[in-house]
Amino acid sequence: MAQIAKLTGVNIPEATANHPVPHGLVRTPGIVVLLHGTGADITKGNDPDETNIYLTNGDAENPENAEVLVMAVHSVANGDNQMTLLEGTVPEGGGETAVPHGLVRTPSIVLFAFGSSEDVALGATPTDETNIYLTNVGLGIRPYSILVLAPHSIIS
Amino acid sequence: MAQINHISTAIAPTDPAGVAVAHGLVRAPSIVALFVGCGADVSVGTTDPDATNVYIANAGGGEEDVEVLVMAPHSIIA
Repeated sequence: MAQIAKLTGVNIPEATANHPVPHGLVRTPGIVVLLHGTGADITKGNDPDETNIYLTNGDAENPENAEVLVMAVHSVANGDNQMTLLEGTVPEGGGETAVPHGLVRTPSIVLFAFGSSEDVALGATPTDETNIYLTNVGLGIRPYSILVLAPHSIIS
Repeated sequence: MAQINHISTAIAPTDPAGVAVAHGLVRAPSIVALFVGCGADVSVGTTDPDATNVYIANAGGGEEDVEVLVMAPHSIIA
């Protein structure tokens, strides 16, 4: 069974909380990323389990589709962490916020996922072995959802 | 060659089959994931990925950005 899969065209009925979506992976995914193409009212619901991820559609009248990347990779489990999804908030203000990525080395790939505010961006400080650095140009706290990868030599 | 790559580019309007974008992976990727840096009219093309390219479509009227993660995971993780 797979450790990585993309779930395409997942339809979530209107006004539905925690709709189960089978992920088909070998174990509970540690990373669930909502991708471009996901409906505006779709959010992640309860934590995933061995069979399903759970998505919520906040639109009261219309079903919406989701595009989801799910990963249950060994590297996350064995301490040699090469990829993770960072989620949290950035305070308002002009400075940079250091966000620890927890990877085994400096990430070579940093991707903003669905659900991350358009006001959040990478700061001028380069990503390093410990942190990525985020800025928030909005007025108020803004959420981020960022996939970071530092693939091992055998896969990079 | 890599099994994972990130491509950041821009493409002109296309038909639904999409335009070829070189992925640089060791084999045809099994996962083509579009991220939110993509323009609103960008989608994965109807042409399947091959050993050299993925195919990305742009249904809009002008050039749009593309942010795509491609993966061709080894058998142990696919």
